Amino acid sequence: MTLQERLKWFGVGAASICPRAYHYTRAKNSTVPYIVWAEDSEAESFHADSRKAEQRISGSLSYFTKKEYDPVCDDIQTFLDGSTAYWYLSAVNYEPETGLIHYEWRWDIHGCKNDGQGA
Amino acid sequence: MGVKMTVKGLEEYIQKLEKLGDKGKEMARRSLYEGAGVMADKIKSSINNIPTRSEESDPKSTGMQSGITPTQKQGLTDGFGITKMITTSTGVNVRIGFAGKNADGKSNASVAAAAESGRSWVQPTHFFSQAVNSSTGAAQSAMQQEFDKQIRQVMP
Repeated sequence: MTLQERLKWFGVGAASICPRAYHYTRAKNSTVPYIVWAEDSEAESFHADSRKAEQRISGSLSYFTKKEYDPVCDDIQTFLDGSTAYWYLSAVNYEPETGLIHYEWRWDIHGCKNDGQGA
Repeated sequence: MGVKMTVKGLEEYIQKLEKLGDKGKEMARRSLYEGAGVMADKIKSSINNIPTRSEESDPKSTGMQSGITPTQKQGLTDGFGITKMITTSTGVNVRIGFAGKNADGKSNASVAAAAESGRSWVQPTHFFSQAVNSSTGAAQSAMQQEFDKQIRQVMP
């Protein structure tokens, strides 16, 4: 898959977990719960024969909810497991100002290539 | 609350040095300190690059805001540092992070965590994780160089 194909695949997966899944930033007046995900940099990629053999992309996925013990968090982790990403739950914060619980996962996905030979 | 980051791969050099016994431990500490310094410099630079927003922010706003206030940025700059070496059963460790409170009385570690991951009304910056990711290779190189220097002194 190319970089964009891989990202689109990730976004479709995120949207399958939560109908309100946004790329980069949430929509104005969005209602909870919702997901915001974004790629932000290249992770440690694999180089061979003086070329990039495989590109890894880092990013984050945030989930905002008001529900305690929200099972969607488990669905997100199942999705990340199935996406062959390296991932971890990087932060969980309660926002007293809004009453929202914010879960954030960091992930690296691999298999991004431009010549169609990627995973 | 704070920002926690685990970097894999840096332990390799430490483990080699620890095999040299008591002398190795001191060498490991010196090498680790070199690597931590490289990473800390990158994080400092990343703090400077966090966008700055107005001191007034309304959590009830439906719009998104970016960055941190000047007071928060000053707090992160002032509160950033490297801890002393900590020896545990797993080896030698050092922590890079934020201490103290800013002029508004807010915990710098808490502000750093919010800037890193964002809030429902604030865009995340990931200033810390990106700095760590982009400096890991340079930190490993710095440790390797210090390692080689130390080894040459012990085994010329």
